[in-house]
Amino acid sequence: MLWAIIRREITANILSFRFLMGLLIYFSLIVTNLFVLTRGYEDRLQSYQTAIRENEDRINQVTKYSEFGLTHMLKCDRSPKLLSIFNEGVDKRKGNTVTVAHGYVPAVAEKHGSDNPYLNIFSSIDFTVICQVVMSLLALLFSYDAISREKVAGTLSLTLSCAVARPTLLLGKYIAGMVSISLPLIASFVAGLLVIQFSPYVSFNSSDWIRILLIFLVSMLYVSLFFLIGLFLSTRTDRPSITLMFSMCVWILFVLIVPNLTVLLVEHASPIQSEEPYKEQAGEQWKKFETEVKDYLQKRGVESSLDLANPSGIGSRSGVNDYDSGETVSASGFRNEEGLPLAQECYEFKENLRAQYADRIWQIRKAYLDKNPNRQSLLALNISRISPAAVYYNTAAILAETDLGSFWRFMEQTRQYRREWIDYLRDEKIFSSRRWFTTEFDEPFDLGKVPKFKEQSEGIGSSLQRATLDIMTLAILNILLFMGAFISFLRYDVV
Amino acid sequence: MIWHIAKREILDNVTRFRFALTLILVMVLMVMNAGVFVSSQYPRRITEYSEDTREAVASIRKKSSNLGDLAVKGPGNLYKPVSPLTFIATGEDANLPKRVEGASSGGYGIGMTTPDLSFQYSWSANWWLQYPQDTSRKNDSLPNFTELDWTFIIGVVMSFMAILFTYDTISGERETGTLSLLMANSVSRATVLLGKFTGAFLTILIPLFIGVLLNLMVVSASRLASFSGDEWARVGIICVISMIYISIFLWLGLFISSQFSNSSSSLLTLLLIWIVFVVLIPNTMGVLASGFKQVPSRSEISRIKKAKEDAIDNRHKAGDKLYRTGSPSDQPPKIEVLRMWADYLNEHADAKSRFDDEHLNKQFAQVAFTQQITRLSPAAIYTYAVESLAGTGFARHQRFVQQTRRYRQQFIDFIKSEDRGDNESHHVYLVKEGLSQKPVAFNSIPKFSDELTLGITFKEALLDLTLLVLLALLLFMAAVLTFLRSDVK
Repeated sequence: MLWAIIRREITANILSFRFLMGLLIYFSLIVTNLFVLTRGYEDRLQSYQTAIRENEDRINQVTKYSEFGLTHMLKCDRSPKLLSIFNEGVDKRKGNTVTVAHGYVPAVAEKHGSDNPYLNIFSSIDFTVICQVVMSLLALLFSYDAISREKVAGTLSLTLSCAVARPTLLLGKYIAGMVSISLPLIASFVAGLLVIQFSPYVSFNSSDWIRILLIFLVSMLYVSLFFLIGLFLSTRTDRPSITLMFSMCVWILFVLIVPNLTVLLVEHASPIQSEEPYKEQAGEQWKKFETEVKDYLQKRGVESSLDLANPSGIGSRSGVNDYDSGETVSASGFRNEEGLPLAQECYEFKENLRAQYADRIWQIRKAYLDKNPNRQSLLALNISRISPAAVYYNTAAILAETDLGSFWRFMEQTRQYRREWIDYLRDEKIFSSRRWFTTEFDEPFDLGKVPKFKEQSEGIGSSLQRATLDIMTLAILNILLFMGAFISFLRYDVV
Repeated sequence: MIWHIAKREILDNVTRFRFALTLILVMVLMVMNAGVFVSSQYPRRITEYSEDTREAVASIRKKSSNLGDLAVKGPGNLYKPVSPLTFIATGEDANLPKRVEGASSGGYGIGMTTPDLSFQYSWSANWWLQYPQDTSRKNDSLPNFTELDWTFIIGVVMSFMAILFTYDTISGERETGTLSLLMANSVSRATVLLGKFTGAFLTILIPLFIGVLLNLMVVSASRLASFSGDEWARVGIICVISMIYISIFLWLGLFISSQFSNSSSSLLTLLLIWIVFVVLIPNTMGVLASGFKQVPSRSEISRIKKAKEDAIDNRHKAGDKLYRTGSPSDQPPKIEVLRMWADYLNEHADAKSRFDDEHLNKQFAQVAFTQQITRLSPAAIYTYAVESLAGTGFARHQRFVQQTRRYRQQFIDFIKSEDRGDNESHHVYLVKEGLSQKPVAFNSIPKFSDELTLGITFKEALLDLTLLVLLALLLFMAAVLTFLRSDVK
């Protein structure tokens, strides 16, 4: 019986005008969009590859180790995420290059950016947004009159006068509706995937395929949610036009208004405090660092590290920016080489101390970030979960590795990389080497051994784990709404 | 007769579901837009702007104690004023830089002692106009959703509603057979079409005007932004443009509707047209732009820039001639040393300045070109027109940059004329020691300002306005022609 109902509903749906409309709209939107975003991804990938190449060139230009301290700081680049084709998330918005030095713990990323950052003013949409906005609307359009239309037409009482149980009818309508929504979606999604495959830069590996499948399934879960909202409302009213009105209101509320109000509310309720006090604190730390270095040098009886070696030419650049400090020294023509060992010891002391202070300052900065922008973002994320549209977007972003959490993971990796770098500097005794400040002596100098930054992508397991809460929310809402529709349909007056 | 038909259309439309939906939707969105603007967006940005400018003024005041210092370090940050009409069109201002920086960057120091020369000098590079990507967005990890400004409410929502209002005006009557009945009377086809248009137009104006009025009431009741007469006039023009824009979609609806004999096909066609022109084109062209018109890549830029600077360095430092003659910080300095250093520093600043300006121009040209392409979409044309009048968006930013460049010249002229007044100065532009070391009267330093007037904004919007009018006329003619030749059954 269930099968008969499903078949009848699917036939009716597929022949209907809205099915054709849905098919055309999905097709034009999704295929064009995936094509365009693939181009965008290619651009970002090229820009990333250039950045990587530039970094290697920069490293190869280094002649003295101290250049790593200021003028040639190491850089970590974040690769553009392949699945940003489906969900751009923060991938485009957040920075993607991070500077690392022993005197600087990375906390924010800059944009190695596109060749023209002004193009950011052009908005863009991705697959997730299309599902979030257009598909949810179409799902409502498919379901708002599922029950009330039949009642108005009088066929509802006819159907129920046969040996059809009400649950069977409702389930049949739900399954048939979802199948008719999915068909055009699957068709256009597959067509879009084919278009993507034409790009020479894109090749999905097995884990990408699983992620794509998961994103698609979550999308279906989300669409089903709106279908059920329509179905539920349809069992609450007698006239399709009233159902449509209510459905539209729910849609506007969840898709347009709640997400916008969230940002507003968060900016209001939890504004970002000024960073100045933290910067001042950091500045004081750097001053303390300077005095400690000075005290040490005085104890060793010198005013400046290289004084005893008496070089004929010395150039130095040092800089303290709010949170980072570094120094690049270059000296030549030592007229008193006996003074060199002491200078080396001085630099060893100074640069080790600098690394320690940088860690201390990172704690100060971390406090600011945790209390201000990061807390605000988390709050916004949590409040926006009132709307299933936001829950859905966030889940898709986690699966596409374009959410804020993935970005923070990357930042953590760069800090890990800095620790590796410092370990390398200490193990190889680079702080105390002459090559720190001069090229005059034949000392081992192998830039090939400088540790390279390797970005580790998150496993599917851990992505899923992070997305569990959101997926569960969507699933539970689905179940609740179905139960609601079920109960309310049991008590529905069919005549 | 036109009025008769219009009245019937209005009565018919007002009682329909779509009218109630439009009314509620537009009212809610308009009130929300005003609420967001008044309670957070505007106060935040205005405070930020005034803090920024206060700091900028304070930094000029600090530098004004020494003309040479001021001349080297430049006027500092120049900020783009916040338009009080941001709620009408945010113009993606959050993604555009809020300032241009006229400052020097980097300090240099050289100390040399070789058997035959001893040289000590530390300096900072001469200032030039830099274009940092510094936006007013404080937290870039907050999700950014569609800004619910007028360009969205009218450009997207109302245009959609305009289609819903007209898709079945002709085809629906054909379906029910009332069209031939109507034509059996002594009314001309043009009258029928005009009557139908007037009816739909007046109906859709009701929600628009209620929405706009509510919106303006909330904004002006807050007393945050008190509009001048000039700004009210701009709001008025924006309303007129919005009406023209909506009429485009009404005529489009009538045009398609008179082509088809069943209303669902006309709705389908209209929906496709709407999705392509209102949703797809404005949202995809930005990503494709880099393919249309290339700008030199970042790495290329930094390479060329470095090569240029190295060339200048090599030329001046060849054979250490820059260091042999003496240091500008010697007391008293030798004029020839000052000249030499001024040449060296000027060349650097000029090269950087020219380079950055050209690069920015290229980037702007790419954006402008992309905008030209997006003008395929009437929604984009409408947005640009409204942005120009509201004083936001890219065109406004471009103007701001031009103003800062004009100001650069003004500032340089001021420094030179001020220096001429000091007899103790060596009049060598521009090395710090070569200019007057006296304080400058703070009030006489030219301040940067960039005010928009009705004339300027209207001139900028004129192209888009003309395009919209032309489009409306075109669709009007198309609708009339097809309806005149169409079959009434």
